[in-house]
Amino acid sequence: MTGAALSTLPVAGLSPASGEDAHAIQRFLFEEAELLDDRRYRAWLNLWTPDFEYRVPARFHRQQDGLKDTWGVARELSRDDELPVVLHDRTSMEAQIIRIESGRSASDSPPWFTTRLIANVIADRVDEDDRFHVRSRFLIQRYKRGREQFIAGSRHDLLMRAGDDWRIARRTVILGSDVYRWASFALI
Amino acid sequence: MMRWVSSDGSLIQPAIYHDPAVYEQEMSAIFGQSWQFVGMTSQVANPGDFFLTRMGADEVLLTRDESGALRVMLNICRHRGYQLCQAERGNTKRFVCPFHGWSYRTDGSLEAVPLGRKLCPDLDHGEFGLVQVPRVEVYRGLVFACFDEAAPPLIEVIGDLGFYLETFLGRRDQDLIMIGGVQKWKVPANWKIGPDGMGGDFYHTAALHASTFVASPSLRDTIKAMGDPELARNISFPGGHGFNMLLLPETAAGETLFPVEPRLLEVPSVREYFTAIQPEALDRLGPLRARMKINTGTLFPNLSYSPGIFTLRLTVPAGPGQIENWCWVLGYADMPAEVRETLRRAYLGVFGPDGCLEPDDAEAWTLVNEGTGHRRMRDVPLFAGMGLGMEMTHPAMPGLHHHPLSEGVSRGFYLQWQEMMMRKGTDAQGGRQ
Repeated sequence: MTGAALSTLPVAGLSPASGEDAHAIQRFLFEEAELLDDRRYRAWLNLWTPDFEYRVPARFHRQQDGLKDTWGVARELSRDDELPVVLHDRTSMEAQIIRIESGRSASDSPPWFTTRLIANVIADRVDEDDRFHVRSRFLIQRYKRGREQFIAGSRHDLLMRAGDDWRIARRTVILGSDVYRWASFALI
Repeated sequence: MMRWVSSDGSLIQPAIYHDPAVYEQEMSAIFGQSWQFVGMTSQVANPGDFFLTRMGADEVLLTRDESGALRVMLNICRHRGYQLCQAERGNTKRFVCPFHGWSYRTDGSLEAVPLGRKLCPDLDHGEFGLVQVPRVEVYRGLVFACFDEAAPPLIEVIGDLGFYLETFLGRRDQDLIMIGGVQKWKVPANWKIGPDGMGGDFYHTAALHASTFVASPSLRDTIKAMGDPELARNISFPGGHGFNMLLLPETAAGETLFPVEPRLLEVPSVREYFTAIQPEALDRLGPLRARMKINTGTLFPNLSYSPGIFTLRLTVPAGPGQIENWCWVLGYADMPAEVRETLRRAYLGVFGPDGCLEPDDAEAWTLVNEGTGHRRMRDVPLFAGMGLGMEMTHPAMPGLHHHPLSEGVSRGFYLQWQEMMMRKGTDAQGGRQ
């Protein structure tokens, strides 16, 4: 069983992004996180391609099969034909943003204080069409009226060059938990 | 005398959500006595398949053994108490304890004890199998188990609710299977508020889900219909079960492609699929039940269902102020991939930690947990009396009928809960004395 969430991503034949591109991509991801912490959701949504896909597969513990096993994380993730934790396209993500911005959602009004740390950014060039496969790790802390929560994991992004800027075409988030102490998942 | 819940169910003491002694008693009086959902037969389709699940606070293994029989057993090695299986699901020939190497067959029997012949030749293997949950029954592809050997058969406990559950689970000649799951997330809340809310609290939707109504007009219309007394009603049953349902006009029977929600039928392959299976459903259910659409409901104590998006939910208690929500998405084996994908996306759009409803429900449950925990609230009763005294019955539709925004299903849930909590003759482990 191959975790489809990863199999849809290029895994071989990639070459590292140039120093200049790698730096620009890193800055892009930091600024993206800042937009979310600043709750500028519309500006954040503009960073995505029109037909983007945002997926958080479910993760579960499985028994490793000794020496025969690949020990791969992909085998712990829900396949494409199973239920993920989150699946968003532009329409559903926009609906979540409308919901939050309505001010009538108890979970987001008052909003949480959030701090997103993005680290371990590794950018690889996928092809000559200026597509980049970018891996990164995140740690998000959020706080509301005495409740403090942390969530951590890694992300596999497909980025497209857009002039001097970048657009996210696909994001797969791999969580570091199998039970999520977190409601309102979007916007990792 | 009002112990926790007033005799009509309209007043509830906040302590039932917080008191550790109440929680301890629930683990025996409720979860030691009740039939509980432990998984789908399709999750353990083949010999050796297992699924690690929970009955109240107890972790159990659901397996299909080598003979093909379903087993539910405590996930604890009988030697020194190691939590035996650490994987959520899989297929195996045996469960081997990593501590000293005792191994168990998938029927729970003790297979091998390292150095047993040399160091303990008289060990009776039959005495040291995994602890079996004595009662296991299957209802329409759903596996239930019960710790109480003397409990009545599952079908008796389901009672008149079964007449309606058939519109979801018995619609076809084949059982539903799991096509997605199990999705799990935590909410700092008491377990009772989950099945209480899913059972028939549609009173909360207009206020709590106002933001969703802004973002999704079609969902707003669907949910508003569930609270319209011309179209919808709540029905409660002895045993603490209940649901909210739409009863469509007689003229609609032929075109009622239930249980799926109308907005999903905009996908042509989904409409085609449900149109094709409709004659079978009409034949099996008859004209009255073919007009019913159950929206959400609860089978006491902690299994809830949303047939419109083919979902089951188990509210797993994890301490007085902590729950895990476990969700399954169901379908039929012959469903095309696009139909399955539509159902999964429909679930994800509404429920789960990033659905458009669930974050606000989770916030409400969390803040109820915070609010009712305040010292000065401990003896101040909460109110669940909406629609009290307006109950009705119907000659062809069993159960007690309520206004769709009534709290009648909640009252039934809490009264059943109290009845079981005050029942005599239950020992601390939940067995009958």
